[in-house]
Amino acid sequence: MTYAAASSRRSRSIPTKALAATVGLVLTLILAACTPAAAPTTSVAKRTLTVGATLEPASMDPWHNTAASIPQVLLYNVYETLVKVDSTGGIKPLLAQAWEVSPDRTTYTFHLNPAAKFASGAPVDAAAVVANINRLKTDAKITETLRAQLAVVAGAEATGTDQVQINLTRPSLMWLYDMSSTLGMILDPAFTGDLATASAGSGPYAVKTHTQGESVVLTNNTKYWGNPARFDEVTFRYSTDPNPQVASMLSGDLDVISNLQSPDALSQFADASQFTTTTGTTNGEVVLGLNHDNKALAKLEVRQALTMAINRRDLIDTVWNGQGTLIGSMAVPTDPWYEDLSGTNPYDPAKAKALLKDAGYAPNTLSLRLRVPVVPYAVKSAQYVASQLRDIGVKVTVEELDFTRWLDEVFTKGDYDMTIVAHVEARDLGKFANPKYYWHYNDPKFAQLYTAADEATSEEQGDELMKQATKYLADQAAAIWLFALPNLVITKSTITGVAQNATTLSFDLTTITSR
Amino acid sequence: MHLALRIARRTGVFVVSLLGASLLIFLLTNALPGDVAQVLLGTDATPEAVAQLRAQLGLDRPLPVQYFSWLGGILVGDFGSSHLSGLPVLTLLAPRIAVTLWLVLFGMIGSLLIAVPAGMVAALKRRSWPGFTISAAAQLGMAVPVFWGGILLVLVFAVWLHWLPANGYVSLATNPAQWAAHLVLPSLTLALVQAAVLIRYVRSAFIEVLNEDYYRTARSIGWTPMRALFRHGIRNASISLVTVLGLQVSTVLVGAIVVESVFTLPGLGSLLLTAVNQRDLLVVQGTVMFLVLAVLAISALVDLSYLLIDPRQAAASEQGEGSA
Repeated sequence: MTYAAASSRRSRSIPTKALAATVGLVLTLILAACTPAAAPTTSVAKRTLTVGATLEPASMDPWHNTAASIPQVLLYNVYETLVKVDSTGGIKPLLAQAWEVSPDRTTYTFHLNPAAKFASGAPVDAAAVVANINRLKTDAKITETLRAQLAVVAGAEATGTDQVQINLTRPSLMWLYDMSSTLGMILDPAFTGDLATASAGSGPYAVKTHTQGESVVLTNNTKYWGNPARFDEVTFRYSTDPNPQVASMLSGDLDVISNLQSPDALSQFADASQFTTTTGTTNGEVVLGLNHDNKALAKLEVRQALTMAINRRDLIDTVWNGQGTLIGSMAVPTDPWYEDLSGTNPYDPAKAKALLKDAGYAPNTLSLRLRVPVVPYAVKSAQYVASQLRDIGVKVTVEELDFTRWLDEVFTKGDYDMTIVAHVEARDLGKFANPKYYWHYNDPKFAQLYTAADEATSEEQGDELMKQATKYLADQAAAIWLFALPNLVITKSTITGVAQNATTLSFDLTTITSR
Repeated sequence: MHLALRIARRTGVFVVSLLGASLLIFLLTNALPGDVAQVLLGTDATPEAVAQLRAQLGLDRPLPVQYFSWLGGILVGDFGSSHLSGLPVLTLLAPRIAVTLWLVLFGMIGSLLIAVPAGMVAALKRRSWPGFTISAAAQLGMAVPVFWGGILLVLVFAVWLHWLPANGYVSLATNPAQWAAHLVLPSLTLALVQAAVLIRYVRSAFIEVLNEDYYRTARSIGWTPMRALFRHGIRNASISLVTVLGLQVSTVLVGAIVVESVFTLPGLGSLLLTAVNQRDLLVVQGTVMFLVLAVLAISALVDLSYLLIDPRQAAASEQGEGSA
């Protein structure tokens, strides 16, 4: 031992040299790798945009797959619709320059833009629109959502080269809105390829590649009939974990975070010289769903008591960094019939306890299971809700399930008392009119109100009736509406034109530019 | 034992382990609640449609039938197809294997580049401050969770310095420079954590060498400690080092899965996570089966590599005197 120690003293400089050489080698390798990262796109002056998004689509086919992540990429960017919903919720022309509605509201005549053409160069004419309606009508495998939306369509016929008439079986307020989304996407009838991997739309972009587990790349449609695309290539990069997304944005790898899933991270983007934060609303109602098959929850007093037990303003501040809108019913601020109903059954724990007692539940005699999917807003809200319900003497057990298990046990089999999930579809009030839907809310009066609103003879009357239906739901405490998810878009300060509100499922690239 | 017999026995253990693993993997994945038909059809599916799709995918068959049809497929190189994307499992696996392989390879090389010199210094200077510092740093490195180490590196090299991308991946064929840039931080994360474990083994292996007669002889004929260690030490120390490396492969694979998630690398780990979440069972089974295969193959190779490193073992095998 003494010998070894003595020997090492004599040769002190050698191991240091070896170490220095190794460290030097490693550093050289790192630096060599660093150099291209600093200037990634200097070789070609390509205009690119990299968008960070959360859920990756499994395929590029929106007609046979309900995932909202598909229209996020494709709607308006790759596939265009006859009409489009703008950032304020209004319906605007897109492929159709104008349209007329018959007095009985069952016949819609659309005048197509004669300039419109597909990426293949073929015109988007009346025949193409009719072919699309017929294609969906005869496809046995389209999603149930599309099938339900299509049920109201009696048929379509070309009444001119660029004029198409669509007949409905009954008037429907919702139908034109539905046509602004997946239902209305017009596919090139000549396309024979695989929709899951390729695209054939008339929008400013086309699908270039989809690398599973990584990204979807859109490329500029050079034959676009409208204002040319502002980018040569747009990449949607996916990460379900918000943290890598935040890091990518801070390190300059991303140009946009399409919707920040961790509002706590907002402060990291406070530097206005580097980043712009756009705050708006989405269609996502965070619903504390109640299972109406549960004997206690079938009672109005109990539902009212539970609603009054939860301080929803405080909940937003605690779990979502104060971002989001109090709604109070199944409508969001960009819906035409929206009114703030968060004052219905306001926070009042004392009254909540009294109501529970009236309903026959002494303190700590009511036990409920709150089964939530593992998504950030649901997990955080669940803890808060459980603690507030315990304060009024309701025993709550919180269970966290991965989304697939939630889909199976809660959503499909109805094995739950309470759950929390965001409903991101646009104008989805009608879900409460379906007694088979996972809330098992069976209220013929609401269903009647909703149908009357949808079938109204004028848009104004329809909106008014929808408003009444929304108010009725809030009064009935059919569910507890915690808040509407905010639209938090982070962009580099050089990027402008991002829509403030997410009124559709699309992440609309057509308005975005780079300075 | 004869060399051929030894190899045959090793192969037997290998096959039995694989069969056992396949049964375990199949049973565990099928015990997961929820199913892919529901995921495929989404929230608006009717129970009839779900049942029809389950039948179409063959998910309604009895479990033993499903197991043997899967196993039979594997034997002829067919791992089945993903229920979700319809692509063959092997097609999905191939690009992912490349990513994980690069990560594990660079992680291992990096950890050796760090651990061998550091461990040698720690052994030679074990009674002075460089030795203490290295040992303390290794302890600290072992205590740090992989993901935390990764996040720290991202913070420094990507967010503050903007030298390297924070996460993501570019394939080697697309852009070699970008490919390298995207692999530096993940590999370094894996290498640092792994090196912390290895340093201790390297240090004790070299301390053992320092006490050997052949080392003292080398020193007495005037060789410097480094020359003596390089000429005689490394080969002797590497027997225990290779054993540890072999054992560590499974740890490195697990580490790589965590690292992939921190750096959103499209490797086997992220494929596995997505497939589990979506109940794409054939993809889960195929991926886990591949990982098991890799770990078993490496441990078999480690076993055989002793023969190359240590000629005494090979000689003993040939003479039928050695032991397995």
